[in-house]
Amino acid sequence: MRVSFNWLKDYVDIRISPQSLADKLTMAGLEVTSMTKHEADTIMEIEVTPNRTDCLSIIGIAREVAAITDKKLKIPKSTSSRGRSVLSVPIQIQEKDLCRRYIGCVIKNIEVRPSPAWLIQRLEAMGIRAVNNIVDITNFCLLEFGQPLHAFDLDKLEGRRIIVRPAEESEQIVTIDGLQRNLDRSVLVIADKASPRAIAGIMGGKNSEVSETTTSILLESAFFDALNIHNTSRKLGLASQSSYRFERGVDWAGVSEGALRAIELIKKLARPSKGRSRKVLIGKLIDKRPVAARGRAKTKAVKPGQINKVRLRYAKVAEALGVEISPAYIKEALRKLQFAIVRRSKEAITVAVPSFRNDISREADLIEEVTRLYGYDNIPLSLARLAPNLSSAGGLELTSETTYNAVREILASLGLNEIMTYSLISRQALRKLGAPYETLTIKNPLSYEQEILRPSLLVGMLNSIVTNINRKNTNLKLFELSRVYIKESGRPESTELCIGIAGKKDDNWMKKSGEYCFFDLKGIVETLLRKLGIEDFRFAEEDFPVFVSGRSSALVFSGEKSSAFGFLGEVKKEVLERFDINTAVYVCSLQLSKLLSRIRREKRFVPLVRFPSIERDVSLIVPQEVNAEQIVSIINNIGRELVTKVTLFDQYFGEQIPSGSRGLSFSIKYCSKERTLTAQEVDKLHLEVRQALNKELKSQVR
Amino acid sequence: MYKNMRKKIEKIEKEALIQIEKIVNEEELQNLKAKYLGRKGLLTQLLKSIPKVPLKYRPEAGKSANLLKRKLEQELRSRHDLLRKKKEKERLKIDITMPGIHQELGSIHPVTQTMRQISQIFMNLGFKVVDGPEIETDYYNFTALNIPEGHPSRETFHTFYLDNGKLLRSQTSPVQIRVMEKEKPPLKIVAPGKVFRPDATDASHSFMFHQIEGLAVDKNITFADLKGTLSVFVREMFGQETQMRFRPHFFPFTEPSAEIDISCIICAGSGCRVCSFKGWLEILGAGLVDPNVFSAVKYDSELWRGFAFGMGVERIAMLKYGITDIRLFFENDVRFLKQF
Repeated sequence: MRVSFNWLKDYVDIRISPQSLADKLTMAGLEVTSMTKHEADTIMEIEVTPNRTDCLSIIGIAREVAAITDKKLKIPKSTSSRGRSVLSVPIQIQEKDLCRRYIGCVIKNIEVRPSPAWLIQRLEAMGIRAVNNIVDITNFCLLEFGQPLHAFDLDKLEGRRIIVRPAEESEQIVTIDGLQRNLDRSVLVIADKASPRAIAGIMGGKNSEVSETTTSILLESAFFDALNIHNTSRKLGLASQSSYRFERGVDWAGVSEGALRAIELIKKLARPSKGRSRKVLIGKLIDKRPVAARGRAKTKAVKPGQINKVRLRYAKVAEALGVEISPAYIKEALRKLQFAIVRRSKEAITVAVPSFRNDISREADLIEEVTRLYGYDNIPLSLARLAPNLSSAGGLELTSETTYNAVREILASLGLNEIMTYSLISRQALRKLGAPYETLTIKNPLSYEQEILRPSLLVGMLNSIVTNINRKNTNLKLFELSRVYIKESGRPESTELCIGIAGKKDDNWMKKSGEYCFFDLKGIVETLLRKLGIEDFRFAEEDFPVFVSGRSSALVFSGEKSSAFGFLGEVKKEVLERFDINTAVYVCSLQLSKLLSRIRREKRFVPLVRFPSIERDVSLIVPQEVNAEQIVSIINNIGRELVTKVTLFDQYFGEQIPSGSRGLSFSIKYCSKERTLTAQEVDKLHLEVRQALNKELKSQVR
Repeated sequence: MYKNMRKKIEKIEKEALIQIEKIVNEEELQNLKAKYLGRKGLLTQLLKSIPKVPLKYRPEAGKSANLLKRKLEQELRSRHDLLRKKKEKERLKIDITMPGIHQELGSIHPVTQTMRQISQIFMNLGFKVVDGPEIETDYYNFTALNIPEGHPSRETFHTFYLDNGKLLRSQTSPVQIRVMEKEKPPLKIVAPGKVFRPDATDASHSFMFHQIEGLAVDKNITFADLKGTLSVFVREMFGQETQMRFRPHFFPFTEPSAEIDISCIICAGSGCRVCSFKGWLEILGAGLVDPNVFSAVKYDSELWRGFAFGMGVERIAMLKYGITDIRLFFENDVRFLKQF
């Protein structure tokens, strides 16, 4: 809301600078977001919160200024002239709920001409273009009182009557901005005998607009239903100063005050300069209130036009604020804000809420008003009533959150960088994975780029990798821990971990490190799971649509066939090409929600073995189909508890290895928990191991 | 005669010491040793001539010459040690200015870090960290929070709607309702998480961002306790000297409501670009829980009172780290990530 400082001074005595007024308004809840000079005036931009519709006018702001600076308010009092009853038109309201009050007034013998300089100046300071005296007066009153008004050229109203009705299906109107609008039954219109002449509360029609030739008008001041105006404005994509105020709710009393003020100004400013009668002829105020709304409300919800009474217990103010505020202060504060005290006792007062404060209906609302004037900054700081209680003293963090944080710490200590990608992705990006997913779709997306909820973290991971590659960041070890969403009514959200590595490891002058491979990723996953206390997992050979066939694995719990809790592998070339990635990428995805119950974060000490260990190596040539896990398990079976560690330290191919085979070298650590092993004992055991490998794997042990 | 002898000794000593000082390698050392102490060495020659000195002066002369011999031997030995040590050092010396071998650490995302830091401050005050769904219903995101259908304040909460009739929460406040429905007061919780709003993305707006919501409900809780709690938070987060001010504001789910500004952490309140020359930065919304919210969860508002607050995590992280574009958080350039 733009507010002219000079105009404000017409209604309240301001003895302070615009800057200090702005500070006071801000600290009373009307935040001044900017101040600009406009000729000799200062224009304040005030952020009016949606509850304070009463502050969408100069007088509304003036009321606040008067209350917070403790000055008298000077509102122009319009004298209600009786008007000529012969000057009247029939007004019929068909939609009583959507139009609760309609004031019409016929005004004749006017001369349409440019407004006087002072009026033009006021409007221009507020950013509104001057048109002619009649239109300018309606705009002036809208800004002054917050009541939208409209003037029809009376001679252009067919049948000289007003019908407030829903539009017919496929009816049309050309609004004063020159655009044709298609209407339907949800739109309330102001019509004459023939057709709609205005979209109620939003904009008038071009064909009944006031022009230079107009001599008679019908002035309209009404109270339209806020929600209907809101919906119509959205539906037509048409907003105006009028709709802005109607959809927030106007002041019931302002409907007549606004009209009277306009009539008074028209009398003065539209007086004909020639002709027989030099007097503007004013008709009788036609005030239609289709729904009787007088007296006190029976139900809790207060209908427009009713006067609301609210009780405030003094004790409740202190209880809510934590500071004593005297009854005298409370009464004075409410009086300054124009609440009338209708009943008082030792403990409480009851006040009548002014009609413009449609946001006040409860004790809590009055407490806020008192607090606002008292000053939030004058309330002391305290922690007195925040003592921890037994139920919240322990377990302050969710166990899942503690686990997720542990996962992040472990991965960061392994050199991975946590990324954060958007939960909303494009259909097209998901399609690049080449895997089928059922997804949840956004009905009102900002763009196709953010149309669906991600069912997997893979898209975000691959997008982050390509962003980095394009910026010549070549060593990438990334992870994301976040939610994914599936089309399932029970549990559509679950937390996943995605790890992605790509590119070259950092070389240094001592060592050339080469490129990442599957086993770098596998090592990260193994370290992570073990550090989380999960030991009973296995890598099972399995193909996935996104991975190179034969270079991927499912992660399963040992001894359980059914549920994989994750997968990892080398991303397929076709998939990488769709993401414009030209380097190998290895990705792992873990369903953390499936892991939570298995995680053992409590540590148990295992006694250290005091006896020396002996190491022996074994090299063997095995057919390709024999895998490392089989070999290790044979070694463990033979050596039993005396084998404490088996390490693969070499894999080789070459001339001496037949094709279809490979050479593998293991180092085995033998040790007993109970005694020192002798060399002969170990040699004997190691020989058994070699023989077993030979026999069971048809391998050639060297 | 003796005088002559003494002069000779002194001359040899002076010359020899100077020369020893100049030795830089083993070869020179051996040559010098031969020159003075070798079979035909200068000092050896001199010692040989001692018997020719008159008896009266002979002991004195012998003593001085022998003293010099021992002295030269010792000087040569220590020179030798010095040369040896120097050579050994040269053999072992490395260029310590060569770069160290790095085992690079990874990093935790700045938004995660900020969220954890904020949660930790409230945990220290006895608040429990909870979470809730991102896919929400209209009831939890709006109605239960005193934002009925058609209420103009719904306009300020732009929301993404889903094809399954649900929506993406536009605030973390629904977690308040879910916790209060399940638990009896008193309670103190904070709920960090993602929220979504269909706002066009620019340097300071993102359609996805993070919030932290707080709620405390007890019998005697007051606005003063809200101020105390947030003042602890502000000082822990932004430094002890940070100022804080409460401005009246409007939120449907609190009454009275406030927006909280802190003194600009860049200019300390004197006015700069970051605070739009106001000296203050808005970082929090808060207030006492609205009675309508309590009635939605069937808490008796005559008996219980509560305060609630909410803040944007990215905004706080941007202020704290001096980040000027919110999009950097979601671009995931490792040069950015590695700074945290």
